[in-house]
Amino acid sequence: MFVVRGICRLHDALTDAGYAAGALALFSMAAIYCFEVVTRYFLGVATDWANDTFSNLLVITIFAMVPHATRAGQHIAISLLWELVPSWRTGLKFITGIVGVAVCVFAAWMSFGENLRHIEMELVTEQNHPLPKIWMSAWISYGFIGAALYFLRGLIPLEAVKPQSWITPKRTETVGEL
Amino acid sequence: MEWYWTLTIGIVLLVALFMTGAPIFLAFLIIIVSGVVMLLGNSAFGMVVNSIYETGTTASLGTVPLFILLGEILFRSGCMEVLLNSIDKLVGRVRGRQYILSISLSTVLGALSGSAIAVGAMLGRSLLPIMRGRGYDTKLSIGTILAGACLAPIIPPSILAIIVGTLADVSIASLLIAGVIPGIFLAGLFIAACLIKVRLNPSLAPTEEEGEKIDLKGKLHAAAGLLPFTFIIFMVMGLIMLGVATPSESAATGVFGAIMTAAYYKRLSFRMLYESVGEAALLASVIMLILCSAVMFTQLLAFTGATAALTEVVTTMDVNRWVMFFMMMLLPFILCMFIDQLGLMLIVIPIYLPILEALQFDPVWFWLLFLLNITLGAITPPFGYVMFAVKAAAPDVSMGEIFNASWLFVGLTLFGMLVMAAFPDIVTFLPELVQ
Repeated sequence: MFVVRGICRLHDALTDAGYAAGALALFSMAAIYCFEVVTRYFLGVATDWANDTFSNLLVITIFAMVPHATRAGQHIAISLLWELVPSWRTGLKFITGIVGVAVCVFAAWMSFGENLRHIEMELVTEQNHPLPKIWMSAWISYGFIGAALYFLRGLIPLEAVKPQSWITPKRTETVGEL
Repeated sequence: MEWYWTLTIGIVLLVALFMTGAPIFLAFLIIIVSGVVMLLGNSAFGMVVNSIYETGTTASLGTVPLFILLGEILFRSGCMEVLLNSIDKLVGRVRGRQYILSISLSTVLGALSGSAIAVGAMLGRSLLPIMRGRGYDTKLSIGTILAGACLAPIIPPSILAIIVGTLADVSIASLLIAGVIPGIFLAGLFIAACLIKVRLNPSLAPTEEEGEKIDLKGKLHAAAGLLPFTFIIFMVMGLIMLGVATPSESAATGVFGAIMTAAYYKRLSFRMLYESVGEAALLASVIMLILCSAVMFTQLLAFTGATAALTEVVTTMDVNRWVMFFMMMLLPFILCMFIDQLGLMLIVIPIYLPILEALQFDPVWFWLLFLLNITLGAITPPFGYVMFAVKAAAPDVSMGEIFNASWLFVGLTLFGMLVMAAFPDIVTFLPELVQ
């Protein structure tokens, strides 16, 4: 159990790091475009990296946050059946958890295969200043595998696997909800 | 398998998965993975990941997290309270003034946040108790909040407009600007309806309201209090209209404007900024993940040949284009009563896109009306999101009362849409002017 707890805490810590990375990426996106507008219209010098960096940061913002969104039960869902037939709620949540694990693991596996291809073929982005594609595509695998683990942890009724967050402690009240 | 079976099974399965309460992105992924395995085989897995990567790096979609961030900063900094007080002073002492205040506020708040739920929840908590306390009719008060909130998705900055623009390949700038006049027009229509109702039935509003009378100096002071907010609107809409910034860039400058506004009111703090950025990134991630999945779903639909075949069927049907238009509007209006706007939008847009091209309607005009139409879903029983937000903010009001409150404004919005259908210039005038 000690090992399981340790792995879960490591997973939580990585998710917190992803949260920080996603937030930082979003703030940087805003800052970069403000900088671009100022340099282009007030200084007459357009940058050749702002658009590319903005796009790269966008994919980080999206996928770095996915594990945290799953941990906090923030994914958008339509709870129509849950509301109409409350007695089905537990069963549907359990099935959703299993499906969540299966689909996210599968998506992570597909993405990981693509990551390996990016590394082997040394693929770079089609941008003014090309970067290794793996730097961005790895976040997709991170997002899906992190989400899959939270779906899995949500299925196990043990205190040791209960998700925690240090970076967003207020969110702990919804932690574990699928 | 015939295309219509593929299309029907795909959509029915997707809607069924939505209904089970599974996260929307999971529902899409299930259909996509099953579809890819059955239709294309294992070799196409890379295509799925690359499609997600391409969508995730589409710069125009970066507008979504930035607009969310703008709204988060304004809400978390408490700047919205300043806005509320200033508009309250400016409305004047007309009988039924709180109805005007409610609609004006929700329109402006919608323009600043782009989120109908946020506006509904905020006004439900702050303004509704005041209105009820002062003797205003509860049903009409809730109706004005619901109606004003439903304008948020069409008045820029609108997140839904950006998503529609991206998926339908319509100029996002045009779609954003196109919402300005219809938004003001509908707000005017709502206010007029309330004043007429109060005139016909004076018991809907109290005769005398407590509170100080605001003199000219006070009103000027209140107007000055609104100036920082006009700065934000200028940083978003002004820069687009002047051709200085693209929609994504204007969203970033809007964020800068919101930070400056918070600083002006001495409400800027590192903690507030940190929480706003974190929450905005989280919400954006959730929305964008669905979008990444939905785009792949669209590509899969096209690959099966269903989209092309459906277009051929529709274009060879001997049906008047206006009848088609009516049907294309009726379908989302009914479905949005039961399905989430975003989910429905992502299913319907790829199917409508080729049909729309064949019918030769102005895309900006059509998608703006479509946006307004699906927005109605948020205030239409039985599953209107904004209604639930108002209910959460005012637990003592029954759900039945909230449902009843919306119908007048649903009717008015439909009337407004008819006017916009008959006079397309209301929608297309500004985008054409800017172009």
